[in-house]
Amino acid sequence: MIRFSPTGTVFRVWRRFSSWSANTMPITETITDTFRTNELDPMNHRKDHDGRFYSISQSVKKQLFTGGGLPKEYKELSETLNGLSIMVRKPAIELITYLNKTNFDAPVTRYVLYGKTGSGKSISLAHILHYGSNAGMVLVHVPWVPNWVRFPKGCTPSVIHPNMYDHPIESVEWLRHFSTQNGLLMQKLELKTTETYTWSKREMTAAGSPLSELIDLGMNRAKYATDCVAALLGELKKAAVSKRCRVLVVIDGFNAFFSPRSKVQREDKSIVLPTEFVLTDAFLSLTRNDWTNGAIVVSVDASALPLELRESPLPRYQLGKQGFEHLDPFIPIEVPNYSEKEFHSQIDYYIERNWLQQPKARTDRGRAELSFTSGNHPLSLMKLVAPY
Amino acid sequence: MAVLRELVVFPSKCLRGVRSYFLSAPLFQNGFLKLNESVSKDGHALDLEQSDTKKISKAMKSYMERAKIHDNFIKQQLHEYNIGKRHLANMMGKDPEFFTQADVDEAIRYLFPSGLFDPRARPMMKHPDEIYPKRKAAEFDVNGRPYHSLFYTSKPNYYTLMHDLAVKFKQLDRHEDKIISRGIQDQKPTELFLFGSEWIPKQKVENVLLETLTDAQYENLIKTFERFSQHPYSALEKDFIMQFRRQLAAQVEIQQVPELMRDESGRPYMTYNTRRKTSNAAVKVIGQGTGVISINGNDIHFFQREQDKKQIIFPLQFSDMLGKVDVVATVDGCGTSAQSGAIRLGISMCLRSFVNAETIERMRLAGLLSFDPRTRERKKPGQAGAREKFTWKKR
Repeated sequence: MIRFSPTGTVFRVWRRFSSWSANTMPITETITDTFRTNELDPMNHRKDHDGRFYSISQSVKKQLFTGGGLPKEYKELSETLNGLSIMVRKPAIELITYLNKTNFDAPVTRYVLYGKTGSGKSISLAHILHYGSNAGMVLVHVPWVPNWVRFPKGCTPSVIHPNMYDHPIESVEWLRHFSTQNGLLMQKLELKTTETYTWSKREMTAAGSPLSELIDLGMNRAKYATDCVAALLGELKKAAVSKRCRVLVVIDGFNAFFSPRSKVQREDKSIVLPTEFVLTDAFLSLTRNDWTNGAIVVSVDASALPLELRESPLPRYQLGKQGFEHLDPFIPIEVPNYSEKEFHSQIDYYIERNWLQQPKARTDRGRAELSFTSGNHPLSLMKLVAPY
Repeated sequence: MAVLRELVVFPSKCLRGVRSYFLSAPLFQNGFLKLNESVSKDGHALDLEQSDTKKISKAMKSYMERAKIHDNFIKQQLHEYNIGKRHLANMMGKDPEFFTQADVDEAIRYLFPSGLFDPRARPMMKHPDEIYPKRKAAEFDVNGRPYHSLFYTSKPNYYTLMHDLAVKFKQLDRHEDKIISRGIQDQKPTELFLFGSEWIPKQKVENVLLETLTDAQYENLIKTFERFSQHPYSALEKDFIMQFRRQLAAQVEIQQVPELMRDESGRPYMTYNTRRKTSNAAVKVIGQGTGVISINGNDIHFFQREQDKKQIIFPLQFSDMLGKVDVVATVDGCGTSAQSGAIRLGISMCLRSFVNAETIERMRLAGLLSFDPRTRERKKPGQAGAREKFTWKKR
């Protein structure tokens, strides 16, 4: 049962129904400092909202994250707990502040989120994605680059680009994801291609045709899908420069593009490097700061690279020489472990959702133990609290 | 050194048991417990060799000879021991007159370094009385007549002790009566304070009495001693009773909790170095903290397994210091289990300085303050492992 005090603090009053302690006093647990916020528009998220949860509606979730973007366990937990709620944290607030103040006439700024694996980078990117969607920006979102590098579903040598490799299936999926995220916006913007794309003797996309035609071609013809993606990204870049649209590029696991190996092999069993993928080329071209009217938010994670390259979570180490030179100059934003306020907010959320069921876990001592054992690390806390 | 080698006892030689019947010196002074000596009751020296016109049986003769040989042997050993001590003192450059047994032990450790695990297996040079098992002195004379009146009980020393206790009891009663009758006020009854000591075990009693006892006889003895020490005036017989009691060492150690030290910023801290199996941990617990933990520069996730994290959190949770102190630890060696166990002990030992005596006692009872002496058991030849045997084949 929930009681409200005159000051508005929420109390939850428990009564023990055990046979030994029939006459005990009820234990009162307080959920002070409401851990939720009613501000559902990320564009308005400010410092005050730090450590508070805001919920994302089912329709928005479907639009933005069907093709990926939320970590698997997080997504499953949100479905169990009856609704996707994201905690507003400092890195995202910082990014939103910058994005709100950006001078879009200047060349694009690149932001790099870094931090230990499981500290909340992907969720922060998801938050920014929601922001971009609400701000009317065209979203170019790569949910997790290592999927293309480590688990390719069949790379074929490219026809157009010699010595490079296509990702036919992944490109189709990505185009589908793009159209889901930006469907309504693209209809409104009615962007057109600026040049002719010849796919074969009989197939071509003329200049001035709508971009949706390009996307549809890619979705239907897997053979040309990768090049469609490259063409699309090129067109979006030009459209942004000519102020027909504003583009937000969000890439998770960016450092996988510069990984020293991939699972793609040539006939002679030699390994194809990620830099030899057409998709890599396309996205690297988009993440260069040679265009305006956009923003690029990227994350680097140790788990995107092989085991021997996971010593440090810092951007220079994770990107390597090539990646660093490509992205330099960028603004690094650290995603740290939970602060004390954020930790208690997370525990309050779990208690309110009845995910933390042990009465002892809800006490101060329980919180102290959870804080210590998880080291205030978001992923560790989530795993610790899980019943499996 | 050649001379010394003959004197230094390597335990393998000692274990050849020699049946014994004789003692070289009496055990108790002041006539509390008279054991058989090589002096007869009237004080005349034993006349071992000559007999009168009576014939000595062969058994008696060999008995006497063995007695003499052993006596001479012990005398010779004692002589050699003393000479050897002087040699050692000269070798070590110390004064031979003031060369104590502790000095002897140190010299032997230096000259004969041993890597053997058990201290009793290492070379030693001790007084012959400590090496060669004590024996009773001659129990009967040339003619076969026993000296001790209780000889035919087959445990004369034991029954003498029991009789002595009874006699002393009566003495104390008479003393008590005297005091009551004379109305002497200043002599208050003082019962012996037995806290901090316990009765010596059966084996030790047997060593003292040089007789084997049954369990019932030992229990009987202890019960009698208990009754005796409960007498109001038992303090008068303190020396006698304390001969059969030994001090309990544990009490003294717990109270020595080190004082907190202060660092530059004034925060109190405590350090402790521990080990578990072959891993070593240096732990520092700093007060006025927020629960920050650092192990070899990493946070709690240095230990990936939950059980290792639980080991670390246990002393802090138990003493309610979670979130109130910071922990900085360095650890190396062995595996995660041993490392976390070492750090746990280190944290517990440091926390002693931060908490009150009651919590320290609770921690001790919880086993947080006990050093874990378990080490990897050695693999034996003829077996696959420490305990595992090779496959047993019937044929």
